[in-house]
Amino acid sequence: MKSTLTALFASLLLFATTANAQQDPWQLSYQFETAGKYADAVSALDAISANSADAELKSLRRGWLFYLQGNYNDAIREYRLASERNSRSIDARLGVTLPLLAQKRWREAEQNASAALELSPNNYTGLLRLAIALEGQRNWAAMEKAGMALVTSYPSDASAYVYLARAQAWLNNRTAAVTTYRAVLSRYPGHLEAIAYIEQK
Amino acid sequence: MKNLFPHKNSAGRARTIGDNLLVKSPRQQARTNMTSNQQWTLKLGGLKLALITLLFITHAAQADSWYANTSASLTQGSYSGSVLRKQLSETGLIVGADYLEQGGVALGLSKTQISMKGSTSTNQNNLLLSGKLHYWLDAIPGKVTLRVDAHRITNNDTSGDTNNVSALAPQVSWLSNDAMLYADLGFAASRYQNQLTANQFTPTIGFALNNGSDWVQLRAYLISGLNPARAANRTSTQALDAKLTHFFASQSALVPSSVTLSVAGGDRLYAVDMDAQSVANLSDIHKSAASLAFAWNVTKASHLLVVLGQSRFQNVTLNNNYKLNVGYASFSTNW
Repeated sequence: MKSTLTALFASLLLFATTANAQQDPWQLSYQFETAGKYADAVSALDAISANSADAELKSLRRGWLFYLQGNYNDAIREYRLASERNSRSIDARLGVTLPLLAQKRWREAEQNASAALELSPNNYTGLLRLAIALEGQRNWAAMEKAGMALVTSYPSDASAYVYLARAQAWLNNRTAAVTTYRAVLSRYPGHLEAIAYIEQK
Repeated sequence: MKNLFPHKNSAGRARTIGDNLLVKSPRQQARTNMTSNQQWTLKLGGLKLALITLLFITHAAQADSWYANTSASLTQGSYSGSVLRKQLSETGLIVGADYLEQGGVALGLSKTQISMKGSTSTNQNNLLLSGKLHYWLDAIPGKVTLRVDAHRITNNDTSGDTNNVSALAPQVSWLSNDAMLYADLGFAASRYQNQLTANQFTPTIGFALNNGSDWVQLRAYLISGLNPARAANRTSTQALDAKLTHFFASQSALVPSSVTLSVAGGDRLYAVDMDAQSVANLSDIHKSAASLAFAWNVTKASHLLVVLGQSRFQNVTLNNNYKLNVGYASFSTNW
Protein backbone atom coordinates (compact mmCIF):
# COMPACT_ATOMS: atom_id res chain seq x y z
CA MET A 1 0.00 0.00 0.00
CA LYS A 2 2.82 2.30 0.91
CA SER A 3 4.64 1.60 -2.34
CA THR A 4 1.44 2.23 -4.30
CA LEU A 5 0.98 5.59 -2.62
CA THR A 6 4.59 6.48 -3.27
CA ALA A 7 4.22 5.61 -6.97
CA LEU A 8 1.00 7.62 -7.20
CA PHE A 9 2.64 10.62 -5.55
CA ALA A 10 5.64 10.39 -7.86
CA SER A 11 3.35 10.21 -10.91
CA LEU A 12 1.41 13.24 -9.77
CA LEU A 13 4.64 15.16 -9.16
CA LEU A 14 5.94 14.24 -12.62
CA PHE A 15 2.65 15.27 -14.23
CA ALA A 16 2.65 18.56 -12.37
CA THR A 17 6.25 19.26 -13.36
CA THR A 18 5.56 18.43 -17.01
CA ALA A 19 2.40 20.51 -17.07
CA ASN A 20 4.27 23.39 -15.50
CA ALA A 21 7.08 23.06 -18.02
CA GLN A 22 4.63 23.02 -20.90
CA GLN A 23 3.21 26.29 -19.71
CA ASP A 24 6.58 28.01 -20.05
CA PRO A 25 6.48 29.46 -23.58
CA TRP A 26 10.25 29.68 -23.88
CA GLN A 27 10.85 26.07 -23.00
CA LEU A 28 8.02 24.99 -25.28
CA SER A 29 9.45 27.06 -28.11
CA TYR A 30 12.92 25.58 -27.68
CA GLN A 31 11.48 22.06 -27.57
CA PHE A 32 9.54 22.64 -30.79
CA GLU A 33 12.64 24.07 -32.45
CA THR A 34 14.68 21.04 -31.46
CA ALA A 35 11.98 18.86 -33.00
CA GLY A 36 12.12 20.93 -36.20
CA LYS A 37 8.60 22.26 -35.64
CA TYR A 38 9.46 25.88 -36.31
CA ALA A 39 5.91 27.13 -36.86
CA ASP A 40 4.88 25.65 -33.50
CA ALA A 41 7.99 27.18 -31.94
CA VAL A 42 6.78 30.58 -33.12
CA SER A 43 3.23 29.98 -31.92
CA ALA A 44 4.51 29.03 -28.49
CA LEU A 45 5.78 32.59 -28.11
CA ASP A 46 2.34 34.11 -28.66
CA ALA A 47 1.74 34.08 -24.92
CA ILE A 48 4.53 36.58 -24.39
CA SER A 49 3.24 40.12 -24.35
CA ALA A 50 4.69 42.65 -26.78
CA ASN A 51 5.06 45.04 -23.84
CA SER A 52 6.83 42.63 -21.53
CA ALA A 53 10.51 42.75 -20.63
CA ASP A 54 11.01 39.76 -22.91
CA ALA A 55 9.57 41.49 -25.97
CA GLU A 56 13.01 42.14 -27.47
CA LEU A 57 14.02 38.52 -27.05
CA LYS A 58 10.68 37.48 -28.52
CA SER A 59 11.40 39.51 -31.68
CA LEU A 60 14.90 38.10 -32.00
CA ARG A 61 13.66 34.57 -31.55
CA ARG A 62 10.76 35.01 -33.93
CA GLY A 63 13.22 36.41 -36.46
CA TRP A 64 15.41 33.34 -36.13
CA LEU A 65 12.48 30.92 -36.33
CA PHE A 66 10.99 32.67 -39.37
CA TYR A 67 14.43 32.47 -41.00
CA LEU A 68 14.57 28.74 -40.35
CA GLN A 69 11.19 28.35 -42.04
CA GLY A 70 12.30 30.32 -45.08
CA ASN A 71 9.92 33.18 -44.25
CA TYR A 72 12.62 35.72 -44.90
CA ASN A 73 10.40 38.80 -45.08
CA ASP A 74 8.87 37.98 -41.69
CA ALA A 75 12.35 37.36 -40.29
CA ILE A 76 13.59 40.73 -41.54
CA ARG A 77 10.58 42.46 -40.01
CA GLU A 78 11.18 40.85 -36.61
CA TYR A 79 14.90 41.63 -36.55
CA ARG A 80 14.17 45.24 -37.52
CA LEU A 81 11.63 45.41 -34.73
CA ALA A 82 14.33 44.20 -32.35
CA SER A 83 16.70 46.88 -33.68
CA GLU A 84 14.08 49.54 -33.08
CA ARG A 85 13.68 48.38 -29.52
CA ASN A 86 17.40 48.35 -28.92
CA SER A 87 19.50 50.31 -31.38
CA ARG A 88 22.71 48.92 -29.85
CA SER A 89 21.68 45.31 -30.33
CA ILE A 90 24.42 43.45 -32.16
CA ASP A 91 22.19 40.37 -32.18
CA ALA A 92 19.54 42.18 -34.20
CA ARG A 93 22.03 43.58 -36.70
CA LEU A 94 23.71 40.23 -37.23
CA GLY A 95 20.41 38.37 -37.20
CA VAL A 96 18.91 40.36 -40.04
CA THR A 97 21.90 39.60 -42.26
CA LEU A 98 20.78 35.96 -42.45
CA PRO A 99 17.49 36.50 -44.31
CA LEU A 100 19.03 39.34 -46.31
CA LEU A 101 21.85 37.09 -47.50
CA ALA A 102 19.32 34.35 -48.26
CA GLN A 103 17.47 36.79 -50.51
CA LYS A 104 20.78 37.94 -52.06
CA ARG A 105 20.25 41.49 -50.82
CA TRP A 106 23.99 41.93 -50.58
CA ARG A 107 24.09 45.68 -50.03
CA GLU A 108 21.58 45.63 -47.21
CA ALA A 109 23.39 42.70 -45.62
CA GLU A 110 26.68 44.59 -45.92
CA GLN A 111 25.13 47.64 -44.32
CA ASN A 112 23.84 45.65 -41.33
CA ALA A 113 27.07 43.68 -40.89
CA SER A 114 28.98 46.97 -40.94
CA ALA A 115 26.60 48.42 -38.36
CA ALA A 116 27.24 45.41 -36.12
CA LEU A 117 30.99 45.88 -36.57
CA GLU A 118 30.68 49.51 -35.55
CA LEU A 119 29.18 48.32 -32.28
CA SER A 120 31.61 45.46 -31.96
CA PRO A 121 34.74 45.87 -34.08
CA ASN A 122 36.31 42.60 -35.23
CA ASN A 123 33.23 40.63 -34.22
CA TYR A 124 33.70 37.21 -35.85
CA THR A 125 30.16 36.76 -37.16
CA GLY A 126 30.04 40.36 -38.30
CA LEU A 127 33.24 40.02 -40.31
CA LEU A 128 32.15 36.70 -41.77
CA ARG A 129 28.74 38.01 -42.88
CA LEU A 130 30.41 41.12 -44.24
CA ALA A 131 32.79 38.97 -46.30
CA ILE A 132 29.84 36.98 -47.69
CA ALA A 133 27.93 40.15 -48.58
CA LEU A 134 30.98 41.56 -50.34
CA GLU A 135 31.52 38.30 -52.17
CA GLY A 136 27.95 38.54 -53.44
CA GLN A 137 28.72 42.00 -54.78
CA ARG A 138 31.98 40.75 -56.30
CA ASN A 139 33.77 43.47 -54.37
CA TRP A 140 36.99 41.49 -54.08
CA ALA A 141 39.19 44.27 -52.70
CA ALA A 142 36.83 45.00 -49.81
CA MET A 143 36.32 41.26 -49.28
CA GLU A 144 40.07 40.82 -49.00
CA LYS A 145 40.15 43.50 -46.29
CA ALA A 146 37.39 41.73 -44.37
CA GLY A 147 39.29 38.44 -44.80
CA MET A 148 42.48 40.04 -43.50
CA ALA A 149 40.63 41.32 -40.45
CA LEU A 150 39.21 37.83 -39.91
CA VAL A 151 42.53 35.99 -40.05
CA THR A 152 44.23 38.62 -37.89
CA SER A 153 41.64 38.33 -35.13
CA TYR A 154 40.87 34.63 -35.52
CA PRO A 155 44.13 33.00 -36.69
CA SER A 156 42.99 29.47 -35.87
CA ASP A 157 39.81 29.68 -37.93
CA ALA A 158 39.78 27.91 -41.30
CA SER A 159 36.72 29.79 -42.65
CA ALA A 160 38.51 33.09 -42.12
CA TYR A 161 41.32 31.90 -44.37
CA VAL A 162 38.90 30.51 -46.96
CA TYR A 163 37.26 33.90 -47.49
CA LEU A 164 40.61 35.66 -47.63
CA ALA A 165 41.92 33.12 -50.16
CA ARG A 166 38.83 33.45 -52.35
CA ALA A 167 39.22 37.21 -52.49
CA GLN A 168 42.92 36.91 -53.36
CA ALA A 169 42.11 34.37 -56.06
CA TRP A 170 39.52 36.68 -57.64
CA LEU A 171 42.03 39.51 -57.46
CA ASN A 172 44.35 37.35 -59.60
CA ASN A 173 46.91 37.23 -56.80
CA ARG A 174 47.61 33.52 -57.17
CA THR A 175 50.77 33.50 -55.07
CA ALA A 176 48.97 34.99 -52.09
CA ALA A 177 45.90 32.83 -52.68
CA VAL A 178 47.96 29.61 -52.73
CA THR A 179 49.70 30.63 -49.49
CA THR A 180 46.36 31.37 -47.86
CA TYR A 181 44.77 28.15 -49.12
CA ARG A 182 47.77 26.27 -47.67
CA ALA A 183 46.97 27.96 -44.38
CA VAL A 184 43.41 26.62 -44.76
CA LEU A 185 44.77 23.10 -45.14
CA SER A 186 46.82 23.50 -41.95
CA ARG A 187 43.61 24.27 -40.11
CA TYR A 188 41.27 21.99 -42.08
CA PRO A 189 43.20 19.16 -43.71
CA GLY A 190 41.46 17.86 -46.81
CA HIS A 191 39.54 21.08 -47.50
CA LEU A 192 38.28 20.46 -51.05
CA GLU A 193 38.25 24.06 -52.24
CA ALA A 194 41.80 24.65 -51.02
CA ILE A 195 43.11 21.46 -52.62
CA ALA A 196 41.35 22.20 -55.92
CA TYR A 197 42.83 25.69 -56.13
CA ILE A 198 46.35 24.70 -55.17
CA GLU A 199 46.35 21.87 -57.72
CA GLN A 200 45.06 24.17 -60.43
CA LYS A 201 47.63 24.98 -63.10
CA MET B 1 22.08 46.65 -70.90
CA LYS B 2 19.21 46.91 -68.53
CA ASN B 3 17.73 43.51 -67.82
CA LEU B 4 19.28 41.99 -70.88
CA PHE B 5 21.06 39.65 -68.55
CA PRO B 6 18.69 39.97 -65.64
CA HIS B 7 20.49 37.41 -63.53
CA LYS B 8 23.79 39.23 -63.81
CA ASN B 9 24.80 42.59 -62.55
CA SER B 10 25.11 44.42 -65.84
CA ALA B 11 25.23 48.16 -65.63
CA GLY B 12 25.34 49.02 -69.32
CA ARG B 13 22.44 49.38 -71.63
CA ALA B 14 22.18 48.17 -75.17
CA ARG B 15 19.86 49.53 -77.72
CA THR B 16 18.05 47.20 -79.99
CA ILE B 17 19.14 47.80 -83.51
CA GLY B 18 16.77 50.18 -85.19
CA ASP B 19 15.54 52.00 -82.11
CA ASN B 20 14.60 55.61 -82.34
CA LEU B 21 14.81 55.70 -86.08
CA LEU B 22 13.15 58.86 -87.07
CA VAL B 23 11.66 59.28 -90.48
CA LYS B 24 9.72 62.00 -92.15
CA SER B 25 6.45 60.59 -93.28
CA PRO B 26 6.00 60.62 -97.03
CA ARG B 27 2.48 61.65 -96.38
CA GLN B 28 2.38 65.21 -95.26
CA GLN B 29 -0.41 64.83 -92.79
CA ALA B 30 -2.09 67.52 -90.85
CA ARG B 31 0.34 69.51 -88.77
CA THR B 32 0.34 69.19 -85.09
CA ASN B 33 -2.54 70.66 -83.20
CA MET B 34 -0.21 72.00 -80.57
CA THR B 35 0.77 75.62 -80.60
CA SER B 36 4.42 76.54 -80.37
CA ASN B 37 3.79 77.87 -76.85
CA GLN B 38 2.42 74.52 -75.76
CA GLN B 39 5.41 72.76 -77.26
CA TRP B 40 7.78 75.13 -75.48
CA THR B 41 6.01 74.48 -72.19
CA LEU B 42 6.43 70.78 -72.74
CA LYS B 43 10.11 71.15 -73.54
CA LEU B 44 10.62 73.34 -70.48
CA GLY B 45 8.70 70.83 -68.38
CA GLY B 46 10.90 68.02 -69.63
CA LEU B 47 14.05 70.03 -68.92
CA LYS B 48 12.87 70.92 -65.43
CA LEU B 49 12.05 67.31 -64.75
CA ALA B 50 15.46 66.26 -66.01
CA LEU B 51 17.27 68.81 -63.85
CA ILE B 52 15.29 67.96 -60.73
CA THR B 53 15.95 64.26 -61.24
CA LEU B 54 19.64 64.88 -61.89
CA LEU B 55 19.91 66.96 -58.71
CA PHE B 56 18.12 64.26 -56.77
CA ILE B 57 20.40 61.54 -58.12
CA THR B 58 23.53 63.59 -57.43
CA HIS B 59 22.37 64.28 -53.91
CA ALA B 60 21.32 60.69 -53.37
CA ALA B 61 24.67 59.35 -54.52
CA GLN B 62 26.33 61.14 -51.64
CA ALA B 63 24.48 59.05 -49.09
CA ASP B 64 25.88 55.66 -48.07
CA SER B 65 22.78 53.74 -48.94
CA TRP B 66 22.60 55.06 -52.49
CA TYR B 67 24.56 53.62 -55.40
CA ALA B 68 24.85 55.80 -58.46
CA ASN B 69 25.65 54.73 -61.98
CA THR B 70 26.15 56.46 -65.30
CA SER B 71 26.21 55.15 -68.82
CA ALA B 72 27.37 57.04 -71.89
CA SER B 73 26.64 55.62 -75.31
CA LEU B 74 27.39 56.22 -78.95
CA THR B 75 25.57 54.71 -81.93
CA GLN B 76 26.60 54.92 -85.55
CA GLY B 77 24.51 53.43 -88.32
CA SER B 78 24.51 53.29 -92.07
CA TYR B 79 21.44 52.62 -94.22
CA SER B 80 21.62 50.33 -97.18
CA GLY B 81 18.94 50.41 -99.85
CA SER B 82 16.87 53.13 -98.23
CA VAL B 83 15.40 55.73 -100.55
CA LEU B 84 15.02 58.21 -97.70
CA ARG B 85 17.88 57.84 -95.23
CA LYS B 86 21.64 57.74 -95.32
CA GLN B 87 23.10 57.60 -91.84
CA LEU B 88 22.21 57.52 -88.21
CA SER B 89 24.13 58.74 -85.20
CA GLU B 90 23.11 58.95 -81.58
CA THR B 91 24.72 59.96 -78.33
CA GLY B 92 23.16 59.24 -75.00
CA LEU B 93 23.68 59.52 -71.28
CA ILE B 94 21.83 57.75 -68.50
CA VAL B 95 22.32 58.64 -64.86
CA GLY B 96 20.77 56.43 -62.22
CA ALA B 97 20.78 55.78 -58.52
CA ASP B 98 19.67 52.73 -56.57
CA TYR B 99 18.75 52.73 -52.91
CA LEU B 100 20.38 49.56 -51.57
CA GLU B 101 18.43 46.74 -53.21
CA GLN B 102 15.09 48.39 -52.64
CA GLY B 103 14.63 50.46 -55.78
CA GLY B 104 16.03 53.17 -57.94
CA VAL B 105 15.52 55.99 -60.40
CA ALA B 106 17.20 56.80 -63.69
CA LEU B 107 17.20 59.68 -66.07
CA GLY B 108 18.29 59.30 -69.66
CA LEU B 109 18.87 61.87 -72.35
CA SER B 110 19.91 61.08 -75.89
CA LYS B 111 20.20 62.93 -79.15
CA THR B 112 19.55 61.25 -82.48
CA GLN B 113 20.48 62.59 -85.87
CA ILE B 114 19.49 61.00 -89.14
CA SER B 115 21.04 62.24 -92.36
CA MET B 116 18.48 62.07 -95.09
CA LYS B 117 19.12 61.79 -98.76
CA GLY B 118 18.97 65.29 -100.12
CA SER B 119 21.28 66.80 -97.49
CA THR B 120 18.55 67.37 -94.91
CA SER B 121 18.61 65.80 -91.51
CA THR B 122 16.21 65.13 -88.73
CA ASN B 123 17.21 65.80 -85.15
CA GLN B 124 15.56 64.17 -82.21
CA ASN B 125 15.77 64.42 -78.44
CA ASN B 126 14.82 61.41 -76.34
CA LEU B 127 14.07 61.78 -72.67
CA LEU B 128 13.66 58.84 -70.32
CA LEU B 129 12.58 58.85 -66.71
CA SER B 130 12.52 55.48 -65.01
CA GLY B 131 11.66 54.30 -61.53
CA LYS B 132 11.67 50.84 -60.00
CA LEU B 133 10.88 49.11 -56.75
CA HIS B 134 11.99 45.65 -55.67
CA TYR B 135 10.01 43.24 -53.55
CA TRP B 136 11.00 39.80 -52.32
CA LEU B 137 8.58 36.92 -52.23
CA ASP B 138 8.86 34.00 -49.87
CA ALA B 139 6.02 32.00 -51.43
CA ILE B 140 7.72 31.95 -54.85
CA PRO B 141 11.29 32.65 -53.74
CA GLY B 142 12.64 35.49 -55.78
CA LYS B 143 12.72 39.18 -56.45
CA VAL B 144 9.77 41.01 -57.97
CA THR B 145 10.51 44.31 -59.61
CA LEU B 146 7.93 46.91 -60.54
CA ARG B 147 9.34 49.35 -63.05
CA VAL B 148 7.81 52.26 -64.89
CA ASP B 149 9.51 54.04 -67.76
CA ALA B 150 8.26 57.34 -69.09
CA HIS B 151 9.49 58.36 -72.54
CA ARG B 152 9.24 61.68 -74.27
CA ILE B 153 10.47 62.27 -77.81
CA THR B 154 10.67 65.57 -79.66
CA ASN B 155 12.11 66.26 -83.08
CA ASN B 156 11.93 68.50 -86.13
CA ASP B 157 9.64 66.25 -88.12
CA THR B 158 7.54 68.82 -89.97
CA SER B 159 4.70 66.37 -90.46
CA GLY B 160 4.46 65.94 -86.72
CA ASP B 161 3.97 62.21 -87.14
CA THR B 162 6.99 61.25 -85.06
CA ASN B 163 7.24 64.41 -82.99
CA ASN B 164 5.93 64.91 -79.44
CA VAL B 165 5.72 61.22 -78.72
CA SER B 166 4.93 60.03 -75.22
CA ALA B 167 5.09 56.49 -73.94
CA LEU B 168 4.42 55.04 -70.54
CA ALA B 169 5.82 51.56 -70.02
CA PRO B 170 5.22 49.69 -66.76
CA GLN B 171 6.75 46.27 -66.27
CA VAL B 172 6.56 43.62 -63.59
CA SER B 173 9.37 41.09 -63.48
CA TRP B 174 10.40 38.16 -61.33
CA LEU B 175 13.85 36.68 -60.88
CA SER B 176 14.30 33.51 -58.87
CA ASN B 177 16.62 33.61 -55.85
CA ASP B 178 19.08 31.28 -57.57
CA ALA B 179 19.00 33.56 -60.62
CA MET B 180 18.23 30.65 -62.92
CA LEU B 181 14.73 31.68 -63.99
CA TYR B 182 13.24 35.00 -65.05
CA ALA B 183 9.88 36.23 -66.30
CA ASP B 184 8.36 39.59 -66.95
CA LEU B 185 5.27 41.17 -68.38
CA GLY B 186 5.61 44.60 -69.83
CA PHE B 187 3.01 46.97 -71.18
CA ALA B 188 3.57 50.16 -73.12
CA ALA B 189 1.05 52.77 -74.11
CA SER B 190 2.43 55.10 -76.76
CA ARG B 191 0.74 58.28 -77.92
CA TYR B 192 1.62 59.96 -81.21
CA GLN B 193 0.24 63.01 -82.90
CA ASN B 194 -2.13 62.70 -85.85
CA GLN B 195 -4.39 59.96 -84.55
CA LEU B 196 -1.99 57.23 -83.60
CA THR B 197 -1.71 55.17 -80.46
CA ALA B 198 0.02 51.87 -79.83
CA ASN B 199 -0.58 49.39 -77.03
CA GLN B 200 2.15 46.86 -76.52
CA PHE B 201 2.42 43.75 -74.39
CA THR B 202 5.80 42.06 -73.97
CA PRO B 203 5.63 38.73 -72.15
CA THR B 204 9.16 37.47 -71.50
CA ILE B 205 10.84 34.41 -70.13
CA GLY B 206 14.51 33.85 -69.40
CA PHE B 207 16.39 30.88 -68.04
CA ALA B 208 19.93 29.82 -67.34
CA LEU B 209 21.61 26.82 -68.89
CA ASN B 210 24.82 24.96 -68.09
CA ASN B 211 24.78 25.93 -64.44
CA GLY B 212 24.46 29.61 -65.21
CA SER B 213 27.10 29.83 -67.92
CA ASP B 214 24.47 30.53 -70.55
CA TRP B 215 21.30 32.54 -70.54
CA VAL B 216 18.35 32.38 -72.91
CA GLN B 217 15.72 35.08 -73.15
CA LEU B 218 12.59 35.05 -75.28
CA ARG B 219 10.32 38.05 -75.58
CA ALA B 220 7.16 38.49 -77.63
CA TYR B 221 6.10 41.90 -78.92
CA LEU B 222 2.32 42.06 -79.23
CA ILE B 223 1.35 45.49 -80.49
CA SER B 224 -2.26 46.46 -81.10
CA GLY B 225 -4.60 49.41 -81.35
CA LEU B 226 -2.80 50.84 -84.36
CA ASN B 227 -4.44 53.20 -86.82
CA PRO B 228 -4.01 51.50 -90.23
CA ALA B 229 -3.72 54.89 -91.95
CA ARG B 230 -0.60 55.55 -89.89
CA ALA B 231 0.73 52.05 -89.51
CA ALA B 232 1.31 50.48 -92.92
CA ASN B 233 -2.30 49.35 -93.10
CA ARG B 234 -1.88 47.34 -89.90
CA THR B 235 -3.96 47.37 -86.75
CA SER B 236 -1.60 45.04 -84.94
CA THR B 237 1.81 43.38 -85.24
CA GLN B 238 3.56 40.43 -83.61
CA ALA B 239 7.25 39.76 -83.26
CA LEU B 240 9.64 37.64 -81.24
CA ASP B 241 13.10 38.39 -79.85
CA ALA B 242 15.51 35.64 -78.87
CA LYS B 243 18.80 36.20 -77.08
CA LEU B 244 21.48 33.73 -76.14
CA THR B 245 24.21 34.92 -73.80
CA HIS B 246 27.34 33.06 -72.84
CA PHE B 247 29.27 34.21 -69.79
CA PHE B 248 33.02 33.74 -69.71
CA ALA B 249 34.78 32.92 -66.48
CA SER B 250 38.11 34.41 -67.58
CA GLN B 251 39.39 37.25 -65.44
CA SER B 252 41.46 38.71 -68.25
CA ALA B 253 40.39 42.21 -69.19
CA LEU B 254 40.81 41.29 -72.86
CA VAL B 255 38.33 38.44 -72.77
CA PRO B 256 34.70 39.61 -72.81
CA SER B 257 32.71 38.84 -69.71
CA SER B 258 29.83 37.85 -71.99
CA VAL B 259 28.77 37.55 -75.61
CA THR B 260 25.14 37.80 -76.64
CA LEU B 261 23.63 36.70 -79.92
CA SER B 262 20.26 38.31 -80.58
CA VAL B 263 17.83 37.56 -83.35
CA ALA B 264 14.43 39.08 -83.97
CA GLY B 265 11.69 38.01 -86.33
CA GLY B 266 8.14 39.00 -87.15
CA ASP B 267 6.77 42.47 -87.76
CA ARG B 268 6.76 45.30 -85.30
CA LEU B 269 5.69 48.91 -85.48
CA TYR B 270 6.15 51.65 -82.92
CA ALA B 271 7.68 49.22 -80.46
CA VAL B 272 9.01 50.17 -77.05
CA ASP B 273 12.16 48.21 -76.23
CA MET B 274 11.94 47.27 -72.58
CA ASP B 275 15.63 46.31 -72.31
CA ALA B 276 17.14 49.25 -74.14
CA GLN B 277 14.47 51.53 -72.68
CA SER B 278 13.85 53.22 -76.00
CA VAL B 279 10.98 53.94 -78.36
CA ALA B 280 11.06 53.14 -82.06
CA ASN B 281 8.98 55.98 -83.45
CA LEU B 282 9.57 54.92 -87.01
CA SER B 283 6.57 54.34 -89.24
CA ASP B 284 8.35 51.62 -91.21
CA ILE B 285 7.88 47.96 -90.34
CA HIS B 286 10.78 46.43 -88.47
CA LYS B 287 11.04 43.04 -90.13
CA SER B 288 14.01 41.34 -88.55
CA ALA B 289 17.31 41.92 -86.80
CA ALA B 290 20.45 40.13 -85.75
CA SER B 291 23.24 41.38 -83.55
CA LEU B 292 26.24 40.35 -81.51
CA ALA B 293 26.99 42.09 -78.23
CA PHE B 294 30.30 41.89 -76.42
CA ALA B 295 30.59 43.03 -72.81
CA TRP B 296 33.78 43.64 -70.87
CA ASN B 297 34.34 44.35 -67.22
CA VAL B 298 37.01 47.00 -67.60
CA THR B 299 37.32 47.45 -63.86
CA LYS B 300 35.24 46.26 -60.96
CA ALA B 301 32.94 49.23 -61.45
CA SER B 302 33.29 49.99 -65.15
CA HIS B 303 31.83 48.09 -68.04
CA LEU B 304 32.14 48.37 -71.78
CA LEU B 305 29.53 47.09 -74.17
CA VAL B 306 29.91 46.87 -77.94
CA VAL B 307 27.07 45.78 -80.21
CA LEU B 308 27.28 45.12 -83.94
CA GLY B 309 24.17 44.30 -85.88
CA GLN B 310 21.84 44.64 -88.78
CA SER B 311 18.13 45.37 -88.96
CA ARG B 312 15.78 45.08 -91.90
CA PHE B 313 12.88 47.44 -92.49
CA GLN B 314 10.07 47.89 -94.95
CA ASN B 315 8.47 51.12 -96.00
CA VAL B 316 5.12 49.96 -97.32
CA THR B 317 4.14 53.28 -98.88
CA LEU B 318 7.30 53.52 -100.93
CA ASN B 319 7.62 49.76 -101.37
CA ASN B 320 11.16 50.13 -100.07
CA ASN B 321 12.96 47.34 -98.25
CA TYR B 322 16.20 48.46 -96.67
CA LYS B 323 18.78 47.60 -94.03
CA LEU B 324 20.47 49.41 -91.24
CA ASN B 325 23.96 48.33 -90.26
CA VAL B 326 24.76 49.66 -86.87
CA GLY B 327 27.47 49.77 -84.24
CA TYR B 328 26.79 50.70 -80.65
CA ALA B 329 29.17 51.23 -77.77
CA SER B 330 28.45 52.19 -74.19
CA PHE B 331 30.65 52.75 -71.20
CA SER B 332 29.06 52.52 -67.82
CA THR B 333 30.39 52.97 -64.37
CA ASN B 334 29.11 52.58 -60.83
CA TRP B 335 30.16 55.10 -58.23
